[in-house]
Amino acid sequence: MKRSSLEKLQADFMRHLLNGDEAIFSHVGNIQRMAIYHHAYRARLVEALASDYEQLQKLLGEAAFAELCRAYIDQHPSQHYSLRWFGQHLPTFSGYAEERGDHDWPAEMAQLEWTFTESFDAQDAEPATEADAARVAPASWPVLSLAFHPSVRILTLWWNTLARWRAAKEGEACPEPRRLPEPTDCLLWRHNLTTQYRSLEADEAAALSTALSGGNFSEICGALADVLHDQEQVPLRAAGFLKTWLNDGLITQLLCYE
Amino acid sequence: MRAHRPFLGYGLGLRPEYYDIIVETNPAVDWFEIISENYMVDGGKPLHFLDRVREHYPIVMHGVSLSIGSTDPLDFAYLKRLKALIERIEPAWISDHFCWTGHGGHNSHDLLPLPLTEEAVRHVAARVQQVQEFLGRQILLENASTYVSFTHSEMNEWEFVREVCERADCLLLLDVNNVYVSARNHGFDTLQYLDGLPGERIRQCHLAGHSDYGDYVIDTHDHPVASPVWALYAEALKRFGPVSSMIERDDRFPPFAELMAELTQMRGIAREVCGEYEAK
Repeated sequence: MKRSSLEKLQADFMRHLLNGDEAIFSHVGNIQRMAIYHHAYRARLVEALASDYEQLQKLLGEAAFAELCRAYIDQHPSQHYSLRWFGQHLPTFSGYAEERGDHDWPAEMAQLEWTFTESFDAQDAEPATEADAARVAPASWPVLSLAFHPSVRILTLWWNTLARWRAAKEGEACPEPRRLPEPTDCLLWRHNLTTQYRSLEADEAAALSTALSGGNFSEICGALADVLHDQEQVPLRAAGFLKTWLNDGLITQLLCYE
Repeated sequence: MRAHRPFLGYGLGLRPEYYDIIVETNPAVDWFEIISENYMVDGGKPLHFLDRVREHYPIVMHGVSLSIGSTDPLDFAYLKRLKALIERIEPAWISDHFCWTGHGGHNSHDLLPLPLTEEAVRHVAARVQQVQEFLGRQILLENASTYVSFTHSEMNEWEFVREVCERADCLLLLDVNNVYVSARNHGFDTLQYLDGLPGERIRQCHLAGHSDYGDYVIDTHDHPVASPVWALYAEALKRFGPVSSMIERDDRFPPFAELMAELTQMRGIAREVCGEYEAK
């Protein structure tokens, strides 16, 4: 089918924005003004990335961040109707690999900031309370499983990314990037409209990961038993975590399936 | 002279910078306009504040991603999300722009200019009809600021606007600043532009600030409304009667009181030109 002249014009115009192609010039009365569109295209996308990755920009510095944006914009032109999603591939583009952890610190910083973005506007849900937990029949506890707020995320950090993110955000002196002796899990979620975060100790990370993947209370205790030396501590620790999670607004439902 | 159009009064854009002051003080603003896409998210702060503001004010929805002039297929994922927001917010009306925003699946996130041709009129009008059918309501389209013109254009912009509105039976959001900006960029007469518009289809006006570079002007929404734009607004009201009007501010956000002062200035001009007119 023959392309309409409108489609050809739009294809030429878009190519000019994407890569400076000049075919559009033959349709345009005032060629030099195409620079306004060309400039605005990149400026708008850079602005979106700078807003999503504010601390990364500070820590990398203007020049390196601009270079990263340039490469990203070329590689990942926006395909979504909303700018909200434009920056979603930046962590992977920067080499982020959560499982292996062999990424450099900027990739991990990008992943942390994107995870905050996800948490910020995740779906709303009413948190459950300690009173809800008190209504669970004793016999049901072993099979109790938990539904979590849609904003809850766990991120494994291999670098001192959280400390550097916090320092950059607060405008404080920022520690040098260094790899952690052991990867550490960071919990991110939204409570009362504000995004929250904290590092998890190994025992809470084990319990929470199990709970998040659908494990019931017995399985949560099983996961804790694997990391705690003192097995008598297991039930008490599990109950303590549950209370913390309820008070932090992480849990939305207590589900009892037989 | 007065068209029988719904009239909301005088409004401002709802922007995150002003969420707190708006919900805490319930300022004397008749209505707020939102950028639809900023609320097409699953939850969190934006929707929370929108719901709270909606309890006290009429809302109109203004989109930037419909891409009504694009030759890419209509994005029904976008339209479904838009429809869901319409159902949640029950806006007085919804609008987007005479423009296209992307091609070949790539989004420029800019309001790109259309050639003013019969081919484009037909294309846009047909798509407006599809959108209106899908949403079950009329939409408003806004004249965009443009910086280039196309050599094969066959008509003036106001003729293009009139043709699309009439063929698609849609409504018009008259952006007074954009008329001024495009007139400066392309050298047309602003009053001739107003005279050529289908006045009975104008449902809303936008006012905003721009950046003047001498040879050309850019629609930046980061300054107060300029005096030639206020003068042109008065000319529009002389021709069309009272129109629900609002001030767009999207950058270099001033203290809220400064926007309220601009709103007062807008009301003053409207009162002078049209006399007292209550929102209804």
